[in-house]
Amino acid sequence: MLTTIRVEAHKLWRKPRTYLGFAAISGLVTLCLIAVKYENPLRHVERYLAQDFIMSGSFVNAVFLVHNLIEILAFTFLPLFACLVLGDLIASEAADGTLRTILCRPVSKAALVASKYIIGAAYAVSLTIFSGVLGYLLGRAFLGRGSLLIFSDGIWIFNEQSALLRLLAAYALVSASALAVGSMSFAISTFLSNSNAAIVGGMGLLYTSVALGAIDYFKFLRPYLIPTYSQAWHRLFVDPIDTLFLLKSFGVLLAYAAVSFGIGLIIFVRKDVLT
Amino acid sequence: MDEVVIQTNNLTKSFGRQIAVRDLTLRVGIGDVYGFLGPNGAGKSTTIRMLLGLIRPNRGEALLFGCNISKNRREILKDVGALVEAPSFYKYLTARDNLRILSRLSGGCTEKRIDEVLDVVGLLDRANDKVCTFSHGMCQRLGVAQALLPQPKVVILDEPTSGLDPQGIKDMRELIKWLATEQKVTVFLSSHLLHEVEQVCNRVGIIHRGKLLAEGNVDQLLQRKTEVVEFTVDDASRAAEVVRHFEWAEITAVNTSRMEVQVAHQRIPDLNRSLVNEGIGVFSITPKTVNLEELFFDIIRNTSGDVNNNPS
Repeated sequence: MLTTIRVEAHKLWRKPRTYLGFAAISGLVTLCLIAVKYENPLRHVERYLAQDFIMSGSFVNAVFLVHNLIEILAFTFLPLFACLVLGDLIASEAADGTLRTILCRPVSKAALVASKYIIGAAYAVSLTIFSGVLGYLLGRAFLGRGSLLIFSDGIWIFNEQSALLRLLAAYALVSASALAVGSMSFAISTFLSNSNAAIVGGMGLLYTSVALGAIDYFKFLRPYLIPTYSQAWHRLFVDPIDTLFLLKSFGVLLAYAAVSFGIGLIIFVRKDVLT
Repeated sequence: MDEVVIQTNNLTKSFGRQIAVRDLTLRVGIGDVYGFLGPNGAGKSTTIRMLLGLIRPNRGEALLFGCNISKNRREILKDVGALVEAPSFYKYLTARDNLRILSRLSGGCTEKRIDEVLDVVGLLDRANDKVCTFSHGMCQRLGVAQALLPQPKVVILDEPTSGLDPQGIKDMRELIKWLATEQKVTVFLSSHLLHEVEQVCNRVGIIHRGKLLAEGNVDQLLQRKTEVVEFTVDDASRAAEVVRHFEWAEITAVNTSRMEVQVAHQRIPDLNRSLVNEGIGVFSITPKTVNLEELFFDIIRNTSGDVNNNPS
């Protein structure tokens, strides 16, 4: 299997489209930086706080930018990127016919699909991490360092070190969430052999889950829906942290990813190669 | 047949209600160049995919080197090179990189071997060009190169001359002959180009609507028909009247000076004697050779009714 993983990694890094994901993330991060720097969303709050507190520095800093990036990217962009990557792994090769070329070789179908998933998942997670790292570096360069100000059932202020640790945990949760949605896309792609249908299907399932979770009539479904857990990262920015719920959320999201991968694997191994 | 390399037993595959291949039983011996003939949609590619383990049969089995492909796919494919339908490669990679990737999946090979196969198909000078710059014919040749890469004992080629120009077709024909004679590789070749198959194959199987209609040595199959002989005479209509008296001869065509008769080889002198005895001048007797194309259409014409009526 190590050989197939290496082959998949080699193909991914030689594919020009791979770098489009990083370019798109860089563009989004830059846009957020410009918006935060020139719009200063906290200007009214800082003015209000200055009436009662002595303010030094600014809450519009690197960690504020990174927190905002999660807010913007977590729900739509990162799951979409994960779907674009994972939903395309099998379907595009099936459409191009290269899957047939590979499977005429003495390659295990299970090893092939597992290798593709591992490389695709690593790429999707690396995009998520890249957005955070780039945001922090650009934030430090253009906004400076400082504490993180959060409004969530009150006002919370975390020093930079604490904020960074919480942001790190938040990125882990957001990555698991993107992976869960992307894995559903992957399972659909093995069944339909169509990347567009897989991407729309994965995102469609996410939005359907959000809609179901918002309707009281279906509240019994909430413990089983991805959005219940994908939004859990917000709870990292309060004190005390509900560690148990966060660990459960992380576990449920990974379980979603694992089950989706398992379904995709079974379908792929059993399916005839007709393309 | 010394040793059977490819064998199918009652191989059957259906897609929904459509039966693509039904009860297919064929044998390919070691060293054979086996032509698998059939019109489009006959079930050739489905059979090849089942031979390679890409499709699971509903019934029956496909054996390569005596082992069932469904149970020993990875082991079997180590000794098999294949080109299935249109060749597909990673267009953003060079020809050499594509072969490197595919060789790694077959256990690896040396750069020298990659150069060798590229040289065999005439692509060595384009080895470092991206596949996206290749024509269809060049992709087809690269497809053959990747099939030869692991030094296979069996090569399975699905319509290998598809999209090639006349020179490319000739090169492919020479390559297949070279594989069989010099490299001692067993070749299983599907095609609907009967002329090509006749020139390179020693055995053929004819498939139509999923059913194998005939199988055997090319020479034997071509001889199995009753011979058609063309008589050039001074009065073809009178000659035809004479021939109509014989039950063992059948007129297939007549014009003013020529008459075609379907007759067993040993009866030709009798027929000639009868014509001369009736005062008909016979200028020439020419046996009309049957080629694979005529045989193919003859078999399909004669059996299509059976196939249509065969209960599925």
